[in-house]
Amino acid sequence: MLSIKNLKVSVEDKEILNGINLDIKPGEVHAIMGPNGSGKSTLAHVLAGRETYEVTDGDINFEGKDLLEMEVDERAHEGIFLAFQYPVEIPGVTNANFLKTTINSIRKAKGEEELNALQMLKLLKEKVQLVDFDEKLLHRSLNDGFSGGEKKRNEMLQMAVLEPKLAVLDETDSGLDIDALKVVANAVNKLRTPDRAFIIVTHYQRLLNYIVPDFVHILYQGRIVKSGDKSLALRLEEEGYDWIKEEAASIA
Amino acid sequence: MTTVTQDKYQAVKQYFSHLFSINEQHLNGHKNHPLFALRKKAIQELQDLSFPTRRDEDWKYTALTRVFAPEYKEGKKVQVAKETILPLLLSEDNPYTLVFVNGHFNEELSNLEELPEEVSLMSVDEALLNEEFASDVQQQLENWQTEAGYTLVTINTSFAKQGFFFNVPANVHVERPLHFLYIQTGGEEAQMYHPQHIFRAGQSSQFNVIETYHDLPGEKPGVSYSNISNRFLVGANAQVGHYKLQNINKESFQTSNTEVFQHQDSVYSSYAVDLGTRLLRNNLSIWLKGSGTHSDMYGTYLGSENQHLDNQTFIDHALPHCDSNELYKGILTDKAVGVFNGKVMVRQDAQKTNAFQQSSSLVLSETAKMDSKPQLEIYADDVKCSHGATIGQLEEDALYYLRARGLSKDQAASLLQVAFVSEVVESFKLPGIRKLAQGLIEEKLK
Repeated sequence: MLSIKNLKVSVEDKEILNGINLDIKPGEVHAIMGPNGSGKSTLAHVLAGRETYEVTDGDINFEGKDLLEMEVDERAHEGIFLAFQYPVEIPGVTNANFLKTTINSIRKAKGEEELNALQMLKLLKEKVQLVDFDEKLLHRSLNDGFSGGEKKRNEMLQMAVLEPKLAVLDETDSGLDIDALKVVANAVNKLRTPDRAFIIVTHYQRLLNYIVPDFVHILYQGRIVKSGDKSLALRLEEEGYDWIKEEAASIA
Repeated sequence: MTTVTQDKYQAVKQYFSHLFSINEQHLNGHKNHPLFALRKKAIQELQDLSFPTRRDEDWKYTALTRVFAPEYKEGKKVQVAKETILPLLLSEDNPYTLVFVNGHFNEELSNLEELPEEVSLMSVDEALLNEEFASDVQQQLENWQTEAGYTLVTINTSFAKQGFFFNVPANVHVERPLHFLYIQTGGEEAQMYHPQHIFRAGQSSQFNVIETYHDLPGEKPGVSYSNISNRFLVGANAQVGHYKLQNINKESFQTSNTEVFQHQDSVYSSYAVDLGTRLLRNNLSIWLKGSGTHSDMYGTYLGSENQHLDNQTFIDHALPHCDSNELYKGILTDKAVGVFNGKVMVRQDAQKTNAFQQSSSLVLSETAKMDSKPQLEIYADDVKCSHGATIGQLEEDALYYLRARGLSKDQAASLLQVAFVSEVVESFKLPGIRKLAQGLIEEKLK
């Protein structure tokens, strides 16, 4: 489904990603872990198409298409969803109105018919329940004055309604208490299907207690330095990142 | 002062004087009417007045030369079918509607049925002959306070037709708003009209006034100049809401002067939406004549192409315990220019004043421009006053977020622009005018 080859990315001439290789098949959940500044969030935003990052080398192939040639919105239409670490607050746009606009623009791009008001209401009701979202927040401005937990739940609601093929969660667990964390994990688990893949970017192992990954990759200094199964995450939990840094240093 | 500009205005004055004498010839028996004396006085006074130029502090960013370049004829009398104006009626607000076509009051298209018995709504002509109101109305027409718009108001007085006087006695709450619907028709000839209204709110009374300005739907619009003059006398403890929306074609011009006098514990709220015109200048001036008052000034404007949209506000805090709250938000693109000039005067006696002023604009092209000039003059020491002026672009983070959810660049930009001005529009209390404003704004920003 997704194949990243030798991806190199710079921001303002500073190389952040330094040759990433990663293959993801439908249905898989990949966790990407790493110390601060290792390039985890950069990878997430490069997948979503943020223009401030400059791809200097490499390829990203998504379902047979060249992802790097696509605009941000085209990637969303193709089924890529990024749950933001810091969802943007937009006063003056109600959450419900935003959801309707985004659902219909993606449906339109896919050549599907736009939903009418009644169908929309039904869909929102169903998804609100699925991700345990406070319905009152639908009528507030998008993320405006939401608590950290509310914002993350809102990202999960958006993920649920947009039904992406590949969902990238960028440190969705940061700043969440254990209850909010469970809500996020629950949403992901309910949305796990054989044809939907997830990339869970996280600093801590905590979230992976609730979302069990098929693969864990450790990103350090812009490279994946180690890949394994969920036991790798547990080792990080116990021993921290120092051994990774030492191993990387000894190789260099 | 003799300058090249004033010399040019000599010709304008002569032209107006000429127009006036043509009018005069058609008056016949009406020459004895007190209104005629007022007009005559005004047109004579105009000959000695200067037109505002950019040398004047209050007109630093706006030149009127373009406004007075066309040779305007007085608004044509034309018939308009009721169906054509249906989309412009604010049925949700269930207003009493006064329709004006090219400045002429059209009784057939208007609806003043069931106006409460206690209130008086009459033409300014009638009011000047009315025993109860004559001297008051005469005084209102003669004593214009604002210097900034004085010349324009004098022109208004010379040419105003079928202005209205609205009097609401003490303790009367007029539930339905009064809607002054101005429609202009197209044609090759540039036309002008001069709306002129006086509103008097008795003690503890309440009412809402809406002014809207549109081109006649379905017709190729023409050049016009509308020169508005409104006065609000807000009695003690009275509450008045005042809405103004204009969506006139971008070849036309509008100047508007509103003077408000607020007495103790009264509330006056102004809501302005400016979408059209080639050049617009709004002067809104509020004098606080009692303590414990509250004043709101909300405004929003969208400028594109060559539009020049200028809002000037003035509030005079002369007495203690008065609050004023001002928020203007606008979006400028192409070669449009926006001006915000907001003056807040807090005099020595005006202790415990709360005065808040904010002007925010989005400037979305390199050739668009915003001139923002907040002026706070504070002579009292125990006050809370703040002002802010921001000029910005659309936030990259927000655009990216929306695009990551599948919205196109244009869709995302449009949504953010609508959101930006919605803070102003959402403050509108009357749903009909609020929805009209929202709808027009969304359409313009598509």
